[in-house]
Amino acid sequence: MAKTFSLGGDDRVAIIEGTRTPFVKAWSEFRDLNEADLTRFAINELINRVNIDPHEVDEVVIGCVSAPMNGPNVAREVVLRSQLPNEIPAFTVQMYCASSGLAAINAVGDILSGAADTAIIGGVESMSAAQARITLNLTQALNDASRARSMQDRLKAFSDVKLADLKPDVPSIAEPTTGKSMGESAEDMAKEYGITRGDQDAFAELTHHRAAKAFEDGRFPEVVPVITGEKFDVVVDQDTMVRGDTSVEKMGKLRPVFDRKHGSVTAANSSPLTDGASAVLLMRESKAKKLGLKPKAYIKTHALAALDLFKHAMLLGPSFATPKALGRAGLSLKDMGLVDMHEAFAAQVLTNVKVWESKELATKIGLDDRIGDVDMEKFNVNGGSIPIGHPFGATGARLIMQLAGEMERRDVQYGLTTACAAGGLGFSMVLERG
Amino acid sequence: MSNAEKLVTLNYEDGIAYICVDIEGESVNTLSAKMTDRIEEILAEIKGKSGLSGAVIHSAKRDFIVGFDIREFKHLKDDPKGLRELGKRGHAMLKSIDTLGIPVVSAIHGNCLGGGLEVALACHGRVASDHKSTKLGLPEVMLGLIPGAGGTQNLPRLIDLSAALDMILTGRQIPAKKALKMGLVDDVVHPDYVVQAAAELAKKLHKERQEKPNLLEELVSDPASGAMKIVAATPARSLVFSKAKEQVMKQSGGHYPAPLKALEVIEYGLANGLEAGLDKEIEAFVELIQTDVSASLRGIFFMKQEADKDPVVSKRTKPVDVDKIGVLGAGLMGAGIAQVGASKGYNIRLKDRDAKGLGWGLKYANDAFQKMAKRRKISRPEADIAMGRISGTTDYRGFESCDLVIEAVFEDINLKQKILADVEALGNKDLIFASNTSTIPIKDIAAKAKYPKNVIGMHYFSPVHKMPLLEIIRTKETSAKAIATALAVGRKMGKTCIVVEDGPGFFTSRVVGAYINEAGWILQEGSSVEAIDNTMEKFGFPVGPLKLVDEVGLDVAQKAAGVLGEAFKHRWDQPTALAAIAEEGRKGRKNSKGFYLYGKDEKGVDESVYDKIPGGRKRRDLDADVIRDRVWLAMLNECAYCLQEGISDKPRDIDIGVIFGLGFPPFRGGILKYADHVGVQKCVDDLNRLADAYGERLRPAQILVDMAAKSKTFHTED
Repeated sequence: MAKTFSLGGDDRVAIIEGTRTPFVKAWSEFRDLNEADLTRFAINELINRVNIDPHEVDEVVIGCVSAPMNGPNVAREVVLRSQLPNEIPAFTVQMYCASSGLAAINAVGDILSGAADTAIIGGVESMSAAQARITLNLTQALNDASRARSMQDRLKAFSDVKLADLKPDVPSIAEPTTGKSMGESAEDMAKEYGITRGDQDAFAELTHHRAAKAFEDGRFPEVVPVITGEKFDVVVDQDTMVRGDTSVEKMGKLRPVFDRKHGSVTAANSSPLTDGASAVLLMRESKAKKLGLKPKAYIKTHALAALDLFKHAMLLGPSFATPKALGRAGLSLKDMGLVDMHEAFAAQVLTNVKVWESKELATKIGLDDRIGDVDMEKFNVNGGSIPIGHPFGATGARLIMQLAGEMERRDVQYGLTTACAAGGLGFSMVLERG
Repeated sequence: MSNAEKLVTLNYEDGIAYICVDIEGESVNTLSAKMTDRIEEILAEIKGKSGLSGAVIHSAKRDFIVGFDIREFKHLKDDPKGLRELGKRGHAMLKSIDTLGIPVVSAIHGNCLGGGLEVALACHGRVASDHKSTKLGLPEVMLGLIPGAGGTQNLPRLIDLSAALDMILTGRQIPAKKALKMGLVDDVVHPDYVVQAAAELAKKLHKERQEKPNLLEELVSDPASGAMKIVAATPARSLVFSKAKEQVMKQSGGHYPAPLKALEVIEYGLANGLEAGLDKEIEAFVELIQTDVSASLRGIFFMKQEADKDPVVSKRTKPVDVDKIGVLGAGLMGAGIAQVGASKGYNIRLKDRDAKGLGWGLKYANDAFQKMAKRRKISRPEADIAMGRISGTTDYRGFESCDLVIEAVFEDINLKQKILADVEALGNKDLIFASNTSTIPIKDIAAKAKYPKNVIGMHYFSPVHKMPLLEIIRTKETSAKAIATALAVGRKMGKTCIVVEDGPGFFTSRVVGAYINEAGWILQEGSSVEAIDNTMEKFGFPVGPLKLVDEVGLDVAQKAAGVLGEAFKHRWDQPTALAAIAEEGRKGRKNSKGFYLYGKDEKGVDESVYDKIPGGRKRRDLDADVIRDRVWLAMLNECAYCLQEGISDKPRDIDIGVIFGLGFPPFRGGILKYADHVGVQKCVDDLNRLADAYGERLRPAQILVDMAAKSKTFHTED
């Protein structure tokens, strides 16, 4: 076979190792851990497992969607609070659910440009640590009051504050431009593309069963046990939301959440609100060789894409980004030994798969051709975000390490991972071995 | 400048006289007779100068002034007249500052201790830097002394009486922010601005003085108008003093005369005025410096200083630059080592068998950091940062890249050999492996080692963050690099280190074993637990031998006794009483069952301990003098054996070890210092007499007999 294109040519970007905390339901076991706490579990374990001298790390890039107000550059806070030396530059990136995918792309760029040899990328989300804010009206009134010189002025500052302004502004996950929640977008997709409740529940069952089996068979070595709780007696050593015993029948009892009357998207066929963090060690191939490290895989190509969300279904990002990434690699979907797609919703996964396989649907959204047939035996083989969970910032790095790990296990030449993100964004990455 | 040696320089700038203390060739500034003269000289020069609006005293070193150079006391202690003279000259110098005619302000950065603080107190104002290293205190009591340059009089006239008493009686050192709150300093500023801020304060005081000359006169001539002010000037102060006295007696057991003397001097000064108080201060100082207690405490100070600087191995041996320490076992010791290591900046990989054990250790460390944060010793983020340096695991991943691994697992030779093999199998042949065993010979642990030169003992004491000693054990094969590394790590962790040769129980466990063993015999022969413990506490130990066993754990003590009993069976017989009590399942404090009662009625001895030993609950106490001599001489005898067998060849290290590791009473100066004081011949005679009466184990070691015959002492007086 002719040699295909890889980023970096003969000196590629290697994926050395990945680690992540277990992914747990928001406001549960990790409720007392903030973003930096969670991320350092993953990063401290990562550098210890690799036995790398942390001084070798040139940069840390962390994806986080809802960065904490006190320390929004999570990456830097983690460097300062972990076993990493304080001298490592660190920055935090945001691209909604593809944030840590973007973190990886940033690090790849720095390694290719020569700005770095070794980078830790990762992501984190703590729904539990997300604070409700006071409303903007009330904030402005408080500011005015603090600057006021007289009691009268101070009182005047509050004259425009209405009763509703006193209610805390709970962070929402609605997409700001369309005003629709992700779930509503998934509902729209299901209706537009004719994805039934039965299809969705069947997919949810499949992915739950696969994730449960993967755990059982030890295919998630990247999961780092976390000891937490006030007495440090709560041990979380695996994802807590995987249901090996779930079934279409059981899920059938749930009522749709976003369109209670005509809807099909339920809590069971969606990814749950999740707390968790992930980290991956990336390194220039030649440096890994020098340090005697054995890469799991290499990053061959990647692509970001965005669609016009006034024209197309918002969560179709994978259909736009994937042909770009494959095209850059000079490969097609059938060359991929494994394919992983982020599962925001079963409806979103199935819609994208449908588009990939159908020339008609693909050209309708403006693609030149269909992407190819999806072999479900190679697709999300160890489960995805529906059973494992979806800490927004952490999922991209989770996808990369999960795919690289399985490629190593199966010794697969090429693999693809892809994710949709709010705002009509898409992320795809092609990995290779050997 | 007339002095050949440079001590202080003087500069004028913008109407301010800058007095810069900077002793040439020394790392710190200390006060001395020469320094007093030089400052007087400078003050006289300033006095003759017109147009000045203030003076600033500052330091060119990392610290302000760290106190009087106590080396000077060595040749003055037997010269009361000379001492009195020195004290008077000191007081005169402080008076010269006070009456200079312009305001004098000290600019304090770094340590400002003892005489240094007394100089600052004599000034009209004080500005401190907000740096971590800035500490103000009067630590003289720690050397069995009291402040001798007006500190006992000026401090209670500046700040609240009870706060002043606390500082003088405990030697507590006050950080800048707290000093500001207490009124001890007038301002706290950035370290690089402290001299300028002091000059500004001097100018401000000068201006006030010109505007309201009378007010300032009043303040200067009668500083007792402010703080103590309310309490100190009224009869209510006798209440404060009697309470303080009670507290001192409770804490010192009456063994330390200095705090009581300090109280007396302060109270006298408040009742009879500043001048009378200063005279009394000199008298008390002269009296105290001639006491054995002060000599002992000063001796310990010097011994510690020497031990902390002793390179032990060739100075050319470079220690490994340790970045990450692996700790095996997250129990009390392992977690303690991890916590102290992390707080000093080491990355820690902490392993335990399972998540439960690991969680216990992580909680222990986190609790310690939270406590430090609560007491404002560190900030909340600093506590978080320190905790982030500890990474827990239940497997060996991450240990290969450790520079040093310290094992603190259960005391079991097979287990220790196995984990050493596990660690060596990781393939890092430079990794130094230290055992925190308290009794097992290091060479036995290293018996099957691939790299025995990397194996060493690092014996920490519990609780690790509190106990100041680290006993480092080297085998015949331990490399100089490993020793240098253990020393560097131990010192960075804030420990005073002694390096001893290998053997069962090395040094400290052997000696404490003798202490407990003899107590066990006395118990078995019929004495009560109280009689034994009270006698030794009265001797000056923080806890008696049987209480100590409760704290350590009877199971742990028995395990150690087993190793020691086996190793020294030819001369060291063991009582059956302790074993019998341990066999009942009593483990001491940790299972609330031991010699003493725990829980709600945590008072007194658990009478049921007597049920399993000869004599039952009816006890017949031995004379306190006999108990005392048997126990401390048994310890001394074991120390002598250690010298004889070459476990240590440094009396200094033995004394440091018993004081910092085993709680031997500091006011006695160390066990060998005390033996010198008692007389080696008398120790030998007493031991022989006790051996005849109570058993051959008390027969004096040959080295003692030889020393007595040649009238030699352990320490040479210099």
